[in-house]
Amino acid sequence: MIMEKIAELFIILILVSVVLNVSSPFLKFAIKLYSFQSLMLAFYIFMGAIHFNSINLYGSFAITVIFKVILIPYFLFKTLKRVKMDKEIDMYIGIPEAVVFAGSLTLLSNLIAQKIIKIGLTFGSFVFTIALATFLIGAMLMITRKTLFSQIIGFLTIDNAIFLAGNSITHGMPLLVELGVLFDLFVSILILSILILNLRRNVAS
Amino acid sequence: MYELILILPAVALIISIFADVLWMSYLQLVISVLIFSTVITIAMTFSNITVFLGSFFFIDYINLVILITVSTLEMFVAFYSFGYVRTEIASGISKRKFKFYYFWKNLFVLSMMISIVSNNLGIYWTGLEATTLATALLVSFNRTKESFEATWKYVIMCSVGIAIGLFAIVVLYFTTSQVYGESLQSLSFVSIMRASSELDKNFLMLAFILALVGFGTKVGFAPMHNWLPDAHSQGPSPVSALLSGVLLNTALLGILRFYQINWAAGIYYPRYFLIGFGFLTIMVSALSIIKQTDYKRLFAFSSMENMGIIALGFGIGGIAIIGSLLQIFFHALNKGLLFLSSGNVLAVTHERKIEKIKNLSNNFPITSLVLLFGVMGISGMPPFAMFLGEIYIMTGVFRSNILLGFLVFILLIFIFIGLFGKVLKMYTGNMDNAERMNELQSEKVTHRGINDNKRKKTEGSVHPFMIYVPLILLLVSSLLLFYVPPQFLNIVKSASYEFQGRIIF
Amino acid sequence: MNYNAEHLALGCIQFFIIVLLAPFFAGFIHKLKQRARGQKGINILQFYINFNKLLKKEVVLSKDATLISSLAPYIVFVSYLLILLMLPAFYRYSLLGVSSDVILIAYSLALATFFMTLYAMDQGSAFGGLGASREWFLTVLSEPSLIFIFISLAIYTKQGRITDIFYFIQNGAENAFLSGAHSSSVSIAIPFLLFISLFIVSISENARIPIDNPETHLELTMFHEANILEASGKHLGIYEYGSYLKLTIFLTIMSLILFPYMAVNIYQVPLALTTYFIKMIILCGLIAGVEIVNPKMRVFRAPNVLSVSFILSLIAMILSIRGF
Repeated sequence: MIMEKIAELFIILILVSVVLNVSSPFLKFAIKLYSFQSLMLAFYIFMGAIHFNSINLYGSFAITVIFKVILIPYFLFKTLKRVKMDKEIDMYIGIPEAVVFAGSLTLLSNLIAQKIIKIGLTFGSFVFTIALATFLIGAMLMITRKTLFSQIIGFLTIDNAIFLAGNSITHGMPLLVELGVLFDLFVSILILSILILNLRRNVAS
Repeated sequence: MYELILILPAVALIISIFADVLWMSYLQLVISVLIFSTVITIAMTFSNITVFLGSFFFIDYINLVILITVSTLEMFVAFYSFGYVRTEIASGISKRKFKFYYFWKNLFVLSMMISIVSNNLGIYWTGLEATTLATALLVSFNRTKESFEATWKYVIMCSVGIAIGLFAIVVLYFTTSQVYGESLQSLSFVSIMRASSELDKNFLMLAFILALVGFGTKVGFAPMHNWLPDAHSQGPSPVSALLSGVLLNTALLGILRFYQINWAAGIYYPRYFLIGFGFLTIMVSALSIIKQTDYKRLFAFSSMENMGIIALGFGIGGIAIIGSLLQIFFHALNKGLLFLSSGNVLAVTHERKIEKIKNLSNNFPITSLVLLFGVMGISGMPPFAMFLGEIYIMTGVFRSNILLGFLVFILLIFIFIGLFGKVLKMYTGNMDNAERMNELQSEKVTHRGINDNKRKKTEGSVHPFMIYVPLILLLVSSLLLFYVPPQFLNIVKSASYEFQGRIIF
Repeated sequence: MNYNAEHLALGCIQFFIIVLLAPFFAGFIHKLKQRARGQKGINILQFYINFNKLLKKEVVLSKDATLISSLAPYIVFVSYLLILLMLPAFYRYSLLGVSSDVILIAYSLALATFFMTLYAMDQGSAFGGLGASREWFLTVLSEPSLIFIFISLAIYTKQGRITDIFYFIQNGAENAFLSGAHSSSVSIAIPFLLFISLFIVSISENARIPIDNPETHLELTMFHEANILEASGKHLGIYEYGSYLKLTIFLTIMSLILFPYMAVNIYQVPLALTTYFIKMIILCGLIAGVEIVNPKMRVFRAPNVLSVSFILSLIAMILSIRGF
């Protein structure tokens, strides 16, 4: 009972961190928020692991922490340092509008989720709403922001949303598959970082 | 035997880390031929669906068709690369760069093979994402600003798309785990097909739609196609050939798998989604082809159009499925030859714009003929094999809906006009005097090395392999119209039965 | 019936305690801030002394001032007092608990702001108009969140009065966490969201540092101060005391959301009072911490922060509408 409520809190914190991400133009803060968001996701998985006492989920918790909380933010920080950007400069819409838009996306995803959900999901029925809202807001981040770094953050947010949804409707994918997925994600972040560095260099020269 | 499909590319991958580039190009030939012959042997002796390597991988009729396609085109590309590497090194690109070229190309082929023969949908996903990552650095091989931007778009869009595909797999896993429990078996395609009647239909439908949108991004279906022309036109030509010819099919395979599951579970209306997306893709690409100014982008749009036709065929069902399966193979060969021969033009002239290239028939006698006939082939003209696939699909379309058939037919005519008119412009046409003067002057200004000055802008400056490989491809593609090996036809027929759920797993 | 008499007596005590403690909390925050900056700090009771001193001074009004100017300070003060009469800070049956509708509270706050800005403009000074427009700029942005917070509390608990709302939450929490009974109507997430949202709103409404800096009198940075720049003597004292009351109102609501514990009878009052005091001290520390850590932000970045608060309260409302 209490665990369910705490898990809810973690999920809400994921959404809060995404909304904060929309409201802030600072890239360093965005990476920190991403790390925090992944940590909350990991804790959510951990709660599930305790609840169902499943080894699979413990493993999933561990690799989520390793990849999403530590490795990816570390490399993003490194890239950010080399790129020497600290602030999102180009946005198609202003911050307050974007935040309000994020709120309406949350409303929308609430409506959609209520239509879709028929079967009881793992923890509370609103995980799916939050996952959908996180997904949409992540997509919005990718669309409304021009800086490549913000696009990476948006992509990672989308990815977290899918992980959240995946963990809410199943008890986690098989560990082997999850490992592959996270490894792919990690490599794609590396490649995107390389591309950012190269693009900056090309623009500069 | 079956394991060799995965082992050989892995061996090539490992060797490519250590070996010298020129050595590697020989080895690559050997390994590609070996892969090809392995696949052919499998195809000759194939009798029923086989699971191997601890049930993580399997071969059935559908992925066998794609496997044959990949190995054939890969072999031709290996031969072409043999010449390509030498030509580019001669023109002053460092050997180290080409070492990476072989490394990434082998990684690409390996991950594509893993995707194609995977029984486990999770592994399929991992392999498909790995192909994106492996090709990312190949697309940006030229290290220009445009190529980096194209790569950026490619990686970001495909990653997001495939992430949605992951969610499709998660939803499917949720459904199947109610039958098999939470284990690897719930993701195994063969097991899912066996239990298909017990699955929740709503969720299967949802999974299909998510997969269509997600993997459809990688196939290049119409609203999600923005990355495709950029990425396919920026890479080195052999890579473009592989990307256009076979990678799109690999991504399509994912959609087909979900379609098969739905079909087996008794959900028949996903076909309308395939028809819709296919038609939309054909329409968008037809409209885009007409206003293209870059010939590699032109061919990229043409592959998009062909994927649309293939999806349309799969959606229509019946005889069109056979057409689509044939089309997968023939399109790969034909698109391969187009990209490879246009690669010759690019390698010599370093020019991507159509209007800047004229009088190919003089300077590139063989290549330009191959290009011209290739374009005829790709639009489904009779002396080439794609006629066969396209006629099957169009027959199916006309049978099911005459109006749709007419619309598609008109769009195909548009595409033919667009493609052929543009390539004809490149083939003929003399430069007028003013332009020639300009050319001479600019050459004086921009000559950079001795190499550049010496080399004439003709076919003679490229390695003979680069000229004859597309020619052989053209001949093969023409030959296949008149003689399709009966074993291959059998496989295609069985694949179409399997696709319609008439083969029990 | 000593039942009602007990309510009346304890309600009165609660009201007087909060009203009397208000300057103390403000002073405590001020002292904390000064200590953190390495200054010696004011006397913690300094605000009482200030108020006393100001009451003795003469009121100077502009010659253009109308009746509004002489009434406004009292209206502002009384509307804050009204809200304090309703709030169940540590005793469940507050004096006006029966009519403590959440909408009434929200609009009493707005009424106070309205009269304060009227006063500012009525004085006819240039700063008054400036301050009034800035005040409304912030209030317009934070009012929706405030209303959403109250409405989502009301929907979440299905109660209309603020006393009932928090009593409901308290009961639910007791049931869920102490006796372990399955209560599907309790959530951690909603109060948490509301708390963050209300925290942001209270920082902006009470002219605290990231949004406003009440300690300076620079025309560029003034929000709240510009409104009462012309006030003097008794009026200024009342305004100052009103702002302490407002701070206390917000802190009290936050403390109730954070950990609702209200006494139902006289025996629980000492414990409840202690809890209340501790909660308030913690919240004061929190606000002081925020004020120390953050620099004053540009005026036009205030909408960013306030929109976040709005969205959080919106999400809370969505969640409470859905039910659990």
